Amino acid sequence: MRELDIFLKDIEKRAFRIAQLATHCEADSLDIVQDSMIKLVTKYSHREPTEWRPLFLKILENKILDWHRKQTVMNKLFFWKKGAKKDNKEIDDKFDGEPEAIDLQACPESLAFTEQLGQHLLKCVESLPLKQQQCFVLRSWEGLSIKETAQVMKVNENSVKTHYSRALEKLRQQHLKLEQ
Amino acid sequence: MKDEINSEQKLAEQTAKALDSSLEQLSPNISARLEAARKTALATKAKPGTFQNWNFSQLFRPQALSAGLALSVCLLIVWNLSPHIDQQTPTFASSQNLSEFILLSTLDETELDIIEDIEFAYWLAQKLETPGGLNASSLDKPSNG
Repeated sequence: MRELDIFLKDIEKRAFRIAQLATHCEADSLDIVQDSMIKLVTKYSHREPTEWRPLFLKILENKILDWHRKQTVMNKLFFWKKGAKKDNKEIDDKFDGEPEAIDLQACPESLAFTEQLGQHLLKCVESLPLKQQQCFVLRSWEGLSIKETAQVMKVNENSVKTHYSRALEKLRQQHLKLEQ
Repeated sequence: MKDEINSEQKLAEQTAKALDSSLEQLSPNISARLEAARKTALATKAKPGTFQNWNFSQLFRPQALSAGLALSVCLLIVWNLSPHIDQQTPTFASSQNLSEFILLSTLDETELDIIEDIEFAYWLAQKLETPGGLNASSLDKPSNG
């Protein structure tokens, strides 16, 4: 348990940031991280400590996907609500499509977060479509290989290459726009 | 092309650094809530995934019951169908009957009579060999002649 505690302590902030980039919501990100931790402890604590990191990232990515699916369903059910996010498109369109404009009004905490960071690079990452964002974060920040990223995201290696390349291209374009 | 790749790589590195530095800027409130989440997670009972933590009452859930019932019905249907299948399927015995039928149909009437006589003689010999095998009642109704 001690090893697991150290591992979770080491990864919790990064996990929170990954979730926050994907959800734009602090409270939901905390829930996602907690759920991921609980799942790792209850289901995989008996595994080798070297396996924990990819497993935890996989759980986290799945939780984020679940959150997005839930949001999509909720927005479809309660379409008349003004506070609803504008992600009424199909899930695949949303996850693979063009980057959406960042809806900072959707969650007040995210506004504070963005102001606090003041770094347009993070805004660029935040605005990427979900799959591209996941792929970019896992490859560039978490340092996973193509194979590991594919396993975490449950896609094939070619998809990882495509998502990563598109993410980089969009980041470059948006970075140039913001610089101008 | 090479410059473009380098610039993309540089951009990725810059973004990773920005993400790293953003971790330091997390509010103490968030850190405290993350710590609480970690403690909650660690406090949950670990399930090693062996039989020791199996809840056998789960076996009696309605889903399990309905699945079991469906399986039983399927097995019953298959069991009932199996003799019917046997009757329909050509077996060794039925092929033997068929060959006998073909053989008999090729014989003419006199050859059939000879065969029947031989059979009768064979039957009579068997009856005479067995003690008390041949009595009046059996001779009253001869099968042949």
